[in-house]
Amino acid sequence: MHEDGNVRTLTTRWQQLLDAYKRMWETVPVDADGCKYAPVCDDEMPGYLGRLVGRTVTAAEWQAAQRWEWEQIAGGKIVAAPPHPAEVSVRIDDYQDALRRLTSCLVRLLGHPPITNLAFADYKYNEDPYWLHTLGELEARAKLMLEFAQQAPATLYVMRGRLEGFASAPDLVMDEATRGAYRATIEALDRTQAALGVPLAERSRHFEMKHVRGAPVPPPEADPELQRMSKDELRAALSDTRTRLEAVETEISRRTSAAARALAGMLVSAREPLACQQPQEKTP
Amino acid sequence: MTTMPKFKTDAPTTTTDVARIGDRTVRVFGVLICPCCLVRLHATAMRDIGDDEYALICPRCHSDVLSITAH
Repeated sequence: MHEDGNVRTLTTRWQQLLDAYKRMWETVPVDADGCKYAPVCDDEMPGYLGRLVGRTVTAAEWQAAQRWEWEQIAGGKIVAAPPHPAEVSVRIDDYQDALRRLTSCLVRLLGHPPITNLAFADYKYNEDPYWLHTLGELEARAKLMLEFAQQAPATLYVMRGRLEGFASAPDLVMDEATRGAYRATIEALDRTQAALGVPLAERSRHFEMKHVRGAPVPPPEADPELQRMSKDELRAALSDTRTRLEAVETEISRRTSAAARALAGMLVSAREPLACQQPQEKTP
Repeated sequence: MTTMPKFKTDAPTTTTDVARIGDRTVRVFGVLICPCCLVRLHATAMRDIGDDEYALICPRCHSDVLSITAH
C-alpha cells in the first residue's frame, strides 16, 4: 500500500500510527457526491447524519461515536490526538455558540430598520461620526470578545492540564509555601474556568491541605537532586502560570466591562437623540 | 461545508464493502451506519444466523441492524 520511500523508512511505531490514521480516514463517511466529510469538528456532520438516520443527532453523540470508532481502530496507540474530553469540548462549543449567536443578534439588531434609521438619521442631520464610531466600536468589541472566548478555554485547559500533570508526579513533595502557591493557582484557575463555563477538572492530591499535612516524608530511595530540580521547576511553572492567569482574569474583566459600558453608552445615547431629534425636524 | 475535493482517479472513490451471503457476494456501495449509535458498520461482519438468515450486528450497541433472508 505504501510504496513511497519516505513511508517505508519509517519505524514500526510510526508505521502503526500511519496505518491507524489511514483507517480513521477511511471511517469518515462519504456523501452522495463521493466527497469525504472532514472529521470530528465538522459542524454540519450531525445534521447530515440526522438526515440519514431520520432523527436528531447531537454533536456530542456524533463525537462519541467517532471517538469510539477511533478507539477501536487505534487501540490507545495515539495519545496526542484527543485534546480534551467530550464533555469539556461540548461545553466549550456551547459557550462559543452562545457568543456567536450574541454577535449575530447584535449585527441583526444593528441591521434593524428603525435602529438603523435612528442611527443614520442622527448621523445625517448632525454630520457627526459618533454613531458610526459607536457602532463600529461595538462590533469590534463583540468580535474581540468572540475571538478571546474562542481561545481562552482551550488555552486554560491546556495550561491546567500541564500544571496538574506536573504536580501529579509520584515522587513530588511540596513544601508549605509551594503548596500555598499551588492552591492559589488552582483556585484562580477554577474561578476563571467557572467564569468561562468550563466544568472543573479533577484536582491533584496537592490541593488537599489536610491530606498533604499527614503525608509521609519523602521515601529515602528517591533521588534528592531530582526532587530539588522538580521543586524549582514547579515553583517557576507556578509563578509563570499565576502571572498568566492574572493577566487572563484582568483581560476578561476589562473586556467584559468595556463591552458592557459600550453597550450601555450606546443604549443611553440611543434614547437621547429621539428627544432632541423632533424639535430639530420641526424647525426647518 | 468542509469536504475533500473529488479528483478523477482510476480507482473509484466511493467506499465499497463486500458481504458474503451464502455462496453469493454482495457489494455494498456507500457507508452503513448504525441508526442508534452512529457507528459505521462493515458489511464483511455479516454473519450467518441460521435458517438462511444473515444478520449485521452493531459492534457498539449489539443491536441487529440489518438482516437478510437468502432464498
